[in-house]
Amino acid sequence: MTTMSDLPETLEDEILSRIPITSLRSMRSTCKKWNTFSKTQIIGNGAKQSLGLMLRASRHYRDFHLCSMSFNLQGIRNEDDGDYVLKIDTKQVSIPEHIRIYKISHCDGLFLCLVEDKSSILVWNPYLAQTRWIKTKQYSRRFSAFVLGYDNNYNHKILKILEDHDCVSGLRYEIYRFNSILWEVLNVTPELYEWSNMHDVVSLKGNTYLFVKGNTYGWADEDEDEDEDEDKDPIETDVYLLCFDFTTESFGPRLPLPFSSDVGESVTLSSVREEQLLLLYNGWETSKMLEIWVSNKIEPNAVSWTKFLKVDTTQLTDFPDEFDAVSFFIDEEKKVAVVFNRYIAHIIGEDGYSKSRGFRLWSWSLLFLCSKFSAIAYQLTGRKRR
Amino acid sequence: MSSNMIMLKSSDGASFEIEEAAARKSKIIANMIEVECVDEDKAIPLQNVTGNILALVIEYCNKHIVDDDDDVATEEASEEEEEAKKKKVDDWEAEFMNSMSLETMFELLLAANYLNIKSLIDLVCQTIANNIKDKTPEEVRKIFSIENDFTPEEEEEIRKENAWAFG
Repeated sequence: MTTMSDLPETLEDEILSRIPITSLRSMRSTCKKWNTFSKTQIIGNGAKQSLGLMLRASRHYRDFHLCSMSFNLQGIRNEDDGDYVLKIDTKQVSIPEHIRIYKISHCDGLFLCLVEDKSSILVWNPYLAQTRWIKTKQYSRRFSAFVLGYDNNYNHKILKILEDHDCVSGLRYEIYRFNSILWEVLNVTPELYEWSNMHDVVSLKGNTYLFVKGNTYGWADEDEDEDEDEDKDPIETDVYLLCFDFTTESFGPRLPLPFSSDVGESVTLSSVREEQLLLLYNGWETSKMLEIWVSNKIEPNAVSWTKFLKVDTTQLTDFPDEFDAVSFFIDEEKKVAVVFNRYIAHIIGEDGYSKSRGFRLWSWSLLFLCSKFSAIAYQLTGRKRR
Repeated sequence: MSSNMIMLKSSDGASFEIEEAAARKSKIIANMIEVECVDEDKAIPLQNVTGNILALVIEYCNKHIVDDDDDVATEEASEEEEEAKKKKVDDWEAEFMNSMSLETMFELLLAANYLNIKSLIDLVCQTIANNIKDKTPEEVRKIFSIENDFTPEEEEEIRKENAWAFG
């Protein structure tokens, strides 16, 4: 009988490199060869799917489960015919039971997790199954943000932004360098004046881009308890992006958005393989347009944009009135975007194509999409790099 | 388009007639045609491929004969048509792979490799790899006839090591 062992090595390797990434654990336990293979190169080649991680809260928010989700957009359409199907595969990622993760962000295959114990944060490489715990001063989950990045020499660092009324700007910045293992105060003064102005964050080529809504009143962290501030009258709004450059350890100037945005309208950030920045603008008040823009060129101090799609949401079937997007991705080939709020995934095409697909995110859950994994050991374990 | 037919002969003596354009999907056969070692009325012997597998290879090549020509010919074809065609091929491929056993897939892979048909190699490798989805290591070893070369201690060690692994 012909089987795996009859194949020349190149073919066997080709098969192994295509094993779905969600089967990583099984693959490693199969045999020595497979185990070694999976550690020296990234599997999951050739998969056309988008991968996401979701933190799913149990009914009373006591427990959070970490799930991997793969989104596979299939199908085809001609003029008035045909349809897209979004296949969603959800699988629980079984991390050690006693660890509870409350918040997750990612950068180039590394994940930064806020856990129950607020005196440390966790950096995790799920591909190599490595973790590193980083001590920090007790922090408030509500008024602190941690972002992971790396500099030109691929040294990883964490930026901490926290509310501190002793500081002139009301915000304090600290940096943790993986090779120095110390938190150090950063003397930077970005155009960021209030905690609540920071709305969304995305990592791109090692740097971090913040979406800032200046001079508005809102609440800081949409994933945490809601504030009373909501009914305060907003004043003039300024919207822009700020980049934190992990090489110079400083913020760049304001980066303009390709549209103007009013209070109450939503802007969500995402990326194309952590190389191009994606912006989703969803008008609620002044217009009901939904726009997606992709960056052509993006650097800490300059950006230019191209429109990916623009649709009038009143013309879309089944599109909710106030769609609060939590995440999205685009399919460049099919020219469609898949936009998620907490309950549905909505497929939107330039020509007005529109289709909803419900799924359970629960109200407290957090979804984000990750496109990259890394087989580089970084400096996570303190051992030499692979 | 004139359809030049050529003959292929499997290792177990079965002969197949195939359009030259389809046969050219195989780099090896295309090469033979280029250097004119193909005698018009003589079949090309393929020593490493049995008749039942060669039949599958030919079925695949016939199905894909269009796309290469189309690259040149369909400049006016709309994007939708292109996509519709691609979708049709995708569906056909899924159906095609679905109908065969894992053993057949391995044989087909060896044949595709021998004949050097890149797109078929990719298709079969991906389908085989997808077989691992949602299976335990025991199940994986069983379907791929892989020997468990871990000692129980090592197995435990791997499990521990991967407590934080994805998947």
